[in-house]
Amino acid sequence: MTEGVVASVDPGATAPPSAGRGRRGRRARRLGAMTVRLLLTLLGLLTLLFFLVRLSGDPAGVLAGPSATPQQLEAVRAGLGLDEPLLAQYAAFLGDVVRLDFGTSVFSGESALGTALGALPATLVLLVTTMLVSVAVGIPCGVLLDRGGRVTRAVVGTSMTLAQAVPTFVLGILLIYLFAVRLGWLPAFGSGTAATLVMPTLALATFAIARTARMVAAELEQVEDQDFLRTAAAKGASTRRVLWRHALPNAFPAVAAALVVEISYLISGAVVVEVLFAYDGIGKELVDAIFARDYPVVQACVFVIGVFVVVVNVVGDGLLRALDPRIARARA
Amino acid sequence: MTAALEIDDLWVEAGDPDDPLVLVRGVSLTVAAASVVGLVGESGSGKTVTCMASLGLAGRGVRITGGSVRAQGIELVGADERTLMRVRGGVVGTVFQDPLSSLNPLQRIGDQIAEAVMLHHGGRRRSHHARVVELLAKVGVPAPEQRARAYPHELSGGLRQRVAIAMALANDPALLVADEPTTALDVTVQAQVLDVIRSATRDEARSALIVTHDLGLVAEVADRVAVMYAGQIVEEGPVASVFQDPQHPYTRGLLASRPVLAAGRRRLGAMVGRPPLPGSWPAGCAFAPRCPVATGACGEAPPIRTSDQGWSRCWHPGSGETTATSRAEEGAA
Ligand SMILES: Nc1ncnc2c1ncn2[C@@H]1O[C@H](COP(=O)(O)OP(=O)(O)OP(=O)(O)O)[C@@H](O)[C@H]1O
Ligand code: SF4
Ligand SMILES: [Mg+2]
Repeated sequence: MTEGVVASVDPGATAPPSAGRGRRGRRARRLGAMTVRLLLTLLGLLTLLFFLVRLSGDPAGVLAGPSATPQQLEAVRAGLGLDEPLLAQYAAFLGDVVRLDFGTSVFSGESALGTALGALPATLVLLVTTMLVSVAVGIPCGVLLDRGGRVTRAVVGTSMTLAQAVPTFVLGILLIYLFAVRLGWLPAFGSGTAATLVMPTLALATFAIARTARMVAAELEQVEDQDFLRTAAAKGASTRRVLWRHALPNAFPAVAAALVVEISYLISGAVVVEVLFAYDGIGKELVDAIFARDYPVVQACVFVIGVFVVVVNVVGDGLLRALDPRIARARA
Repeated sequence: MTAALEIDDLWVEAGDPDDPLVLVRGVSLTVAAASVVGLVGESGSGKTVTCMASLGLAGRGVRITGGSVRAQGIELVGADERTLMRVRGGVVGTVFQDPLSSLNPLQRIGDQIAEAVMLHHGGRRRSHHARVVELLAKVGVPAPEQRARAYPHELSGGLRQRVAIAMALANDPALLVADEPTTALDVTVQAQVLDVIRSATRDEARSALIVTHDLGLVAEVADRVAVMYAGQIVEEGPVASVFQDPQHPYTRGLLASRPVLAAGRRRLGAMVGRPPLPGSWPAGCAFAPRCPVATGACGEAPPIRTSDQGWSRCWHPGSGETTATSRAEEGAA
């Protein structure tokens, strides 16, 4: 080949690689706005929680026990500050939240926050395995949904619809019946071992797999007509390479965004699954506390879950920006 | 010598096979070795479909229903994927209109060019770094070492199109197919990108098929020109003779609508109306409703008349006056 045939330069050839102050300012403002939004969400959640708890019954009654005399009940109420006006109670409650003081469990006497936090890791493990399974199964299913032949698409599509239609607890019961009762392969309930993780993960992931698959298929269809896929083919890339190296990576940021939102939904599914499989996570802790009217623990659990969802959203947002160089580089 | 590209009676359609929409009907076009052909015509005439279908790159649902396409003698119609993969990028390099959307936004441009080399020479992308830098320098990208690490959105339109051209040239293909390579660029940058294309063709004896609306561009870089209307080529010939003495009334209309070329010439046949869309092409000569010299004969499909070193598809070919005369004669007869 002949060398350096043309050497003229376009005027204003590139955007400067280092971004200006304007961009940094915008980023700070974006982060600030997000933090405010999330704090408000958290505040709303706690407020709702406070009033729901006050509406749902008298904590003092539980504490004092069924045989308590009215005098004893009154004493407990005064001790808890429950005889004060509602607004004053609310202010005191918020003050406690800010100091991360949720009191102690009515039953165990241990720190309510400590109890909630202690149950969190098991739930995190369940969420992580669920996400891994839904990505590992959901992406190939999504590809089949978009690229498969007529029959494949119909089969996968129907399975996904089914997966989304069956309620998690029904699925969980079916799983227990099949794997624990009939086949005896897996323990029906419990936590702490890998085997106890399998069924909760399956029950929780089924819905997420279907959603991931649909998301991948929808994004692939979006990306479908993009010129750069034709460019890749024009370079001599195989259909498969165009799909895996060019189409899917470009579909991924949007899928990842959806997955982050999915985690927030999964938490509520985790509550059902944990109770069903007697899996000792924060969801089960929360439900147990609700039934026992152990309000300090209920409040601590809801608070921890709320903070977790907020953190997931912040981290997710950062992750998305890191995934796309068009956004990532603009921050430099 | 084998022609770089031989399209022979190509028919392309889209949509429901039972009720197809014909997009290209019987296009024949040859790009000889080391020659540059410009393909012109109004929007919707089927230029892009012709090029892309030839390379098997037209979208889903677009099918070739007849004809043959040979690149350097290799038949592409009905070829297996392996053959197509070898030809694409190896024998034929392709450049698209919009350089931003035609580059993968998530990959560094160096990696994208390296992929083109890798697909035909094997190895890993990284091992082709030297070649990537060489290619970038060749198409006039300044500081190619650094630029190779840039993402498409970090470059200007002109630089992106240079990158796209570098990618098309990565494996030294015999033929360059460029679909409106300058249309999406600023006017000032168009000339520079055109320079790159000119050097990649003229200076390296490479053949090219260049689709464009810009007749000035054709005059500058092409040896021959093919004029397309309603899915057919209506005139083909050497640029000089077609521009000097257009045979088809549509070609005359195109030339007349170009202010620079038309200056000092009779503005005969400046065109009225819009081109018909596929599916609503008139029977006989599709240009008849807009043709200033149409006659009753034009309701029949016009014959191909060869002239000089080209040909046209018209009942009344020739310069404006001759046609007017022949019409008068016909009227008198
Ligand atoms: N997949 C498809 N299905 C149906 N119609 C199509 C398809 N692809 C292209 N067409 C139609 O075919 C016609 C020719 O399109 P083509 O893109 O080849 O025109 P063109 O000559 O390149 O025009 P332009 O100058 O605007 O690029 C257009 O009317 C277009 O709408
Ligand atoms: S065939 Fe008739 S209508 Fe068609 S371009 Fe020629 S003169 Fe015009
Ligand atoms: Mg086009």
